[in-house]
Amino acid sequence: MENILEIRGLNKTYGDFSLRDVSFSLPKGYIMGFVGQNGSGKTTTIRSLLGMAKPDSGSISVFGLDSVKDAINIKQRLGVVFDSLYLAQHLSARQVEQQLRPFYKDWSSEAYFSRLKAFDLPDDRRIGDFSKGMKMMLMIAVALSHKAELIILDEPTSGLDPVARDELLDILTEYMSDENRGVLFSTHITADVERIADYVTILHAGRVWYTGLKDDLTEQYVVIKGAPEDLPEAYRKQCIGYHAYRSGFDALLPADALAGLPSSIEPEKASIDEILVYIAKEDRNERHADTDAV
Amino acid sequence: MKLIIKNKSELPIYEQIEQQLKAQILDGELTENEQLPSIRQLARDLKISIITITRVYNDLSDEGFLISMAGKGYFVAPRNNELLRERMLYEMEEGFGRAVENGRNAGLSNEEILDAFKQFMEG
Amino acid sequence: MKDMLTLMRFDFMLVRSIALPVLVAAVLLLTLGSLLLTPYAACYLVAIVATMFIVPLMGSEDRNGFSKLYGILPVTRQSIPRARFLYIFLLCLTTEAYSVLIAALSHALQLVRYMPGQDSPMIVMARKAFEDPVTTPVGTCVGTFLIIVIAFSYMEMMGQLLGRENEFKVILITLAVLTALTFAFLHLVDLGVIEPRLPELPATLAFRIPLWLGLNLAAGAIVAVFGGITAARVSVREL
Repeated sequence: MENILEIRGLNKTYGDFSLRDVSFSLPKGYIMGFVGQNGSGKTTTIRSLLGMAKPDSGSISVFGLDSVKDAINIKQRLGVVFDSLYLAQHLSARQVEQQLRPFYKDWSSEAYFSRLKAFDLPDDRRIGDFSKGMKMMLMIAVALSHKAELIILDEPTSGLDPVARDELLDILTEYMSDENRGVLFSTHITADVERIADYVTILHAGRVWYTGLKDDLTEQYVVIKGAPEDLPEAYRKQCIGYHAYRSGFDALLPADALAGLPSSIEPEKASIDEILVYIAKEDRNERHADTDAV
Repeated sequence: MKLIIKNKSELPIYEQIEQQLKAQILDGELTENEQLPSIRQLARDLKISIITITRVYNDLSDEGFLISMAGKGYFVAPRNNELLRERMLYEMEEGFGRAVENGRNAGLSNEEILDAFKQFMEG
Repeated sequence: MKDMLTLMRFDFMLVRSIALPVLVAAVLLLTLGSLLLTPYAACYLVAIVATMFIVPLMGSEDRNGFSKLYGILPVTRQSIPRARFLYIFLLCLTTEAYSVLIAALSHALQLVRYMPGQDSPMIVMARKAFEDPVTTPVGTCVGTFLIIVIAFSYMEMMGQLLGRENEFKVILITLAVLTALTFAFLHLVDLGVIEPRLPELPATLAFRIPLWLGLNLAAGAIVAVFGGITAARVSVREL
């Protein structure tokens, strides 16, 4: 199966933050949710892909083309949606089209205006006056107007109401009815990708914590809850983000460690949200363990 | 064809869909040789990932509920399919197993469980 | 090459809605003013066009989040600043060529002789302008062009390299001073207080035209250098 996107060994250091050995791939025809806390490195990864940031090492290929050497060819076929508008605020949607159209070989004015209509966006008002949701829809209209085969979204739904977020999911699933396309959806609102993502890559503190099928991920981890005394030490060691409080404890446990767990402890399937939370808690636990040890 | 996904259910989404589809096939709501929506179409309608739907269709094909025809799509298997019958028998035995375990957990003896079963069948 | 055109058009469209009406009004007024009154009216055109079509662009990148646009557009990162400098140069060049034409035409036709109110102070002053040889108004047009195109491209370079917030005050002051100087210069020439004395040069067109071309090319070279420096630095910057 062809990969529409391949990231190999991406390394980049910015002050005290670094992306370390980030590698993952997205096969053609699927949606990947790219999740992680704020500051985990998702945006840096995407900026490296777009040539906005230069990695210290590693390579990225899109459509089988090198992201540095063939950047222009890639961008002809790439649609990008950011969390904020990148167009001049005093223009109208109509004027934006006039500005952007000559850059793209496959621009379709018809597609653009029919999208505007479908999204209820006026074509003659200042785009700066659009609500946040409308601005996102405008960026999507642009992304969908030049036969893009891969759409990259970087935190497109932060600050949006659930209705707008749902509309976005609708658009993306519709876009994917063509199996030659792909979507990379980077977000810290994991509920958005929980349903529609085929693949998930979790970034944590600049490293890839998981990359692969979403269904596999949610089957590989469970959340366990119960009384601390009921949890044997052997299991305690395998817990991620163990948190004990007055009336009990909760933690994330790999599903293959479940065998033989006392029945007083209840496992529940883990959502991606919970996985992220427990990963973060594990970090804090480790930091406290270090300071305790000292 | 109507499918309802409950987000808060303990059952994984793929299982919910499989169960509902099987039920609709078994009770005839989905008729023999009826064509199902393509994988991507169904994924789009339900706003569920494509791979999940692929898994559902593959599972149901393996179990004899669906037949996949290359280039054409997925169709409901004819009802007198041997695999289907075997599957239904298997489901029945699974059901027996669960019922007996639950009865025993409730503290019933084997006779009491049998009685309850008889009542169920007559009722 | 096509990319440069598309990018210049992009810049132009950013300012078009506010600048175009002003441009039309200015061209109309100054063309008439020049033909009917004094050839020196044409010299103001470059300054006005530059202010309306170039100044609003400066800093538009930061205000509008264009850094993301540069990640998206299918053009090389170098071509974006280069196109901006080409835009500045071509805009000023075409305006200059036009104003030179009008000034020369005005001088040749001297239509002010037929204007009503020959005794009014304005007409008297305008007629005085014709006492200068044609090279003076033309030279003034060329002179203002040179100053403005070099100054504006310099400001653009500093703005892009140092960041608009840092350079903002300096740019503003430079701009104000230059504009004031230019207008003051033109005004004084108009009043006859200053008589721009150009070196004794052959009065033939065969000499003047290559000289004019040479000056324009020199200006173009300077703008190209500023553009090249900007493009080299800005295209490798982390966005």
